[in-house]
Amino acid sequence: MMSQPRILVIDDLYGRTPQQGRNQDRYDFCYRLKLVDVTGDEAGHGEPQKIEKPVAEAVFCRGQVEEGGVVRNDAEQVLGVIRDGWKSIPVWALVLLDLHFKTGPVGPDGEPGGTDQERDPSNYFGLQLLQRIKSEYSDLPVIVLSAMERDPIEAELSRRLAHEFRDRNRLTSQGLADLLREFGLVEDERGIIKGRSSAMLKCLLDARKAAATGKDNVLLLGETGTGKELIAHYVHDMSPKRGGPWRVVSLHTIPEKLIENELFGSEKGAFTDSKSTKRGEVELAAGGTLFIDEFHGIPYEVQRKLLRFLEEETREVQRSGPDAEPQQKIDLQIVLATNDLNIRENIRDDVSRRVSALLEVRVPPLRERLDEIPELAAHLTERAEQILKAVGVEVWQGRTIEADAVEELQKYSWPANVGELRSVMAWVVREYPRLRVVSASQIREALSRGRRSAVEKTEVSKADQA
Amino acid sequence: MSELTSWELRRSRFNHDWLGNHFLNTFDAFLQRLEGGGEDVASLERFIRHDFAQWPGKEAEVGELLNAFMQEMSPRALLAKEPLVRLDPGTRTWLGSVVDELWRARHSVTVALSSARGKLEAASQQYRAISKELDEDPIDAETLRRLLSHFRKFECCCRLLKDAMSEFPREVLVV
Repeated sequence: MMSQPRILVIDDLYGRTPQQGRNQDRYDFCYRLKLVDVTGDEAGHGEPQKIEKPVAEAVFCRGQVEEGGVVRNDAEQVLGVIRDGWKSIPVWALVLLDLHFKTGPVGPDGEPGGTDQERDPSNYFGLQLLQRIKSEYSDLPVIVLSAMERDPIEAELSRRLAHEFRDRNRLTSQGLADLLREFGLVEDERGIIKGRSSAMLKCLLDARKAAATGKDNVLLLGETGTGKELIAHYVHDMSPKRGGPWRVVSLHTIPEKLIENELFGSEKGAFTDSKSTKRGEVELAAGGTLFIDEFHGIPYEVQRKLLRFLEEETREVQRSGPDAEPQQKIDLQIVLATNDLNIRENIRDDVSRRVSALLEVRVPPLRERLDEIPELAAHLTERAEQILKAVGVEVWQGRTIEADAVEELQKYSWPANVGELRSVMAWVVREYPRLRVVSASQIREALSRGRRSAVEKTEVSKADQA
Repeated sequence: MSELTSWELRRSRFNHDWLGNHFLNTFDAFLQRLEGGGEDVASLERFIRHDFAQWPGKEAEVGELLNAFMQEMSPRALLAKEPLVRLDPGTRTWLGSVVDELWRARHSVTVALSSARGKLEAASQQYRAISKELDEDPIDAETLRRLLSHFRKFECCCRLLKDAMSEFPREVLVV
């Protein structure tokens, strides 16, 4: 099930834990921005606040310690909280960071009096924290949220890599939802891509950025089995082209001499056996997205022609053949994918230069998403059970995966990625349809069969080549 | 490191600590609760008795702050500090008048001051209108809902006041 994004709010005022009663400023802030407070430090301080249609969960961190009636800033505390949340799931979707943190002796009102120096923009503790956070967690999006004036620190925000500055009095729940979409590490809102690790959420964020205009061309780099087609479809759904056609071409299944014809089309009589006009995939995807898998396998001449087409603003295409109609303008978004992670080094210079102009999105391998294996394995097992049931096999649905089985799965390196995990879980379900628990023994058996099968395939392939 | 003036510190305490960090946050939550049906009566009442009631004190604080601005933030103040304090009194008098005039003209301080005073008065007018109604009726969700448009106007005036207060220079500017 999709979970709410979890944000971290680093703020001296909202992060405070009162000895009695609740932190009313935090309570109101959560109400305004539709945040569910999951900090857990106010348990017993009244009923939890009811938030309708929450935008996110929030954990509040003060970034300060109070000792002997004196408050001082504590960057290590903040980094510890970030570290803990970065390792677990859900990871931080976004950090909202205050600028000015009041320190000093605590007054009768329970608040530190603050010092004159800390109000000077050049001394803002928030800016010091920003620098530390970005140097240690460069992928973590940080939004500075303050009631302080922006002008005196504009250059510092840029130098220290803040994603955005927002006036805290003007940020609304809709504004926060927009920030999460634009900068946040958030799950696939459609619920199709199962991914909650920071590596996968970063990939989704990059994909959303690449899709923002619907006019940029995208290059997906990912090993076999990482789900590049799913990401490509996500790019389509997140782009302004989502209402247009979605076309997929797997060029490795098409004979080399027909690839150009497949992409750009041909008129009747363009070549022997060409008995009718054929619209190319580029034309068929007009107004939408064309996904071209295995781009590295396309012949050099076609690669060149395709990339030349991509970089032209006019995007004109012409079918081949003696009676070809004049060129027509096509408005589409193209997503190319390859499992050749060093494609730029492995292709000719002129094509490489053009590839460099594409927006790159890296799809992470499963070995970088090991935290997600429990959920992925459970999801794939459930799907395998449903498939078997659909064909009439008596199957136990909802089996549990034992902790040692999960450990076994997490020890493996998954060279064929999620595709391989899918095969392993499907094999276990098929082989033991009515068992209610998946154990480490079954996983080991499935993995050893998979390895044997891979070795056999390699030997058959070598024999064929010989 | 620049040294913040006493005026700037007082402005920051009002504009950032109280108005920005606290009052507008809690005011916005109050309005949203009221617009959402006003079920959380305890939070609504809390705002009126604890936060809204602070306005007269804050109005006086801002009034004093604005009155002190010319005196404390004019570069004329530099003549009372080292090294310019060593100038003879006659020179300090005429030089003080010149830099003060130049400062007022170049940085439109009179306009900024007049604008902030206008915003403060507008906010206080809204406050007084609401207070009058609240004095006559019990503070309950129904009364508060009836006054929703007045509260919205008051909140808007407070935001404008915050913006106006942000327009003043942060330090004594040398002309």
